[in-house]
Amino acid sequence: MRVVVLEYVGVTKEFAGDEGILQVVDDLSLTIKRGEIVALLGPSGCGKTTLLNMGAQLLKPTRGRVVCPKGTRVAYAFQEPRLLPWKTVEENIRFVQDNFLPEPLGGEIRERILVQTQLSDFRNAYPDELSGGMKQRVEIARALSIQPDLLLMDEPFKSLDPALKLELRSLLLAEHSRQQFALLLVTHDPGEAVLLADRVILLSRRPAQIRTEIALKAPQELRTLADPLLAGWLDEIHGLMVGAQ
Amino acid sequence: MAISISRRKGEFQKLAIGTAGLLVVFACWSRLAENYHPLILPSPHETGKALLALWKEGSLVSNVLVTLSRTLCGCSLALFSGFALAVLTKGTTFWQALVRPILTLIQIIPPVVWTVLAVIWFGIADHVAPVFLIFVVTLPVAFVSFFSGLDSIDGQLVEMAAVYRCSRLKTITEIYLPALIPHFVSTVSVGISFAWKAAIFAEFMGSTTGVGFALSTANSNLQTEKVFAWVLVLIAVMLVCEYGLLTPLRRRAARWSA
Repeated sequence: MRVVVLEYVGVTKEFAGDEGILQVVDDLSLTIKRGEIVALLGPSGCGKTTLLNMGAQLLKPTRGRVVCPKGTRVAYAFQEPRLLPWKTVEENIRFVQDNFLPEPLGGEIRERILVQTQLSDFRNAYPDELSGGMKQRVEIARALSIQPDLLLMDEPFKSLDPALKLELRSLLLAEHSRQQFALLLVTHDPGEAVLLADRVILLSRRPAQIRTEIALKAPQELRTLADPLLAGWLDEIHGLMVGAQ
Repeated sequence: MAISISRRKGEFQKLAIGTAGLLVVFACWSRLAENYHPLILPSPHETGKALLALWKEGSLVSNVLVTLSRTLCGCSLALFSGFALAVLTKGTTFWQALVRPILTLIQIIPPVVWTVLAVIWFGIADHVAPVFLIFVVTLPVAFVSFFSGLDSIDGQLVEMAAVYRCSRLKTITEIYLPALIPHFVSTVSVGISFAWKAAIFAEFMGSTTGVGFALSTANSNLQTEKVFAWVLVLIAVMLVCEYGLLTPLRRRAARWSA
């Protein structure tokens, strides 16, 4: 029995807007266990980010519960990097690392991740000196550096070029098999979902409901988009997505 | 590298043009002074002599120090109160609704009215009247600037800090305060120049010490060269303040405004 790190129980989320109440999530239940990689796949604006924000306890559900056991170490790689402009790359990472890890250990982990994300030459650079893709790498490096139990990622590879995407995906998988955190990933790219996830959760248009869930059983390290198995999954997902229109 | 050189070249050009303009003004002054009685327009030479005399008798340093200390005192009081009021009124509509109109009222009333009132209330013998005027003139400026500073704090960074379990104290010292630094610097810049002018004005109208009072005395004694000498002193103090204090401060703060 693996430990549950995040649980959505009958979650509904509504926002009060100018044109009345906007329902974003509708009675959604989902359980994420330690070591799992779960991808939330859905059309843009369907409420995926709202689900992540509730998972991070930044938002409260209107109805239902979002349970994250006490002491769960949560990291969140935001869609737009949220870095402190007055701190360097390394200071930005330390800023959150210091809350969880004592220094000799934190420094070792930081060092490893800076090297793997190819940021070690930029450790003393300030965010405004970095390109968009590099800031996103810092965002991911910061999230990995606290050794999280639960990692939330919102379109983490959005503005990266294909080569770097590939590299960061394998870094993420390597860190995942090392740290065994639970990963809840939001994406609108089916290819990314089938490359990374153990479970792909297909969401409806807003308000988000779970339309279907696909379990993918094949070691992530061996997956490529050329693989007929993946092509089959992708076809299935595309079919379902077209059906949703 | 190339960019910084060309930027430096541009700055040098601006400096050269500015200096040339000032030299033209100075030349006009010298030329005109030849045609007028020193009582109307003292020459640079006479002004320089008056300045030297002020320096020798010690009144230059002592008066500047008095005015500066009043400025600093009134200005820091205003900055502190402005900051406190901005923080207080930030989240609450009640305090905002209460404080804003009062500050607007204070701002609308011309400084000369405040000076007259200050002299009536506090007399002319001590520091209270000038400090009061400086405070009254600078407070609304400080409040508005700090208020917009608090507005500009990035809620997304605060959320990030919450997810990563930063303590309340860490969030304040590492996110709120650094985010306020550029606003603090610009508030200090604007506040000091407001306060300095208010100090001179108040001393001119109702005080027995300070640069403003010395100006007024020279004026009533028809010592125009002294008036000019004091004006040069005023300019010098503001220049020192600008380039010795505020410009380096702004440069350091630029990092935070990214």
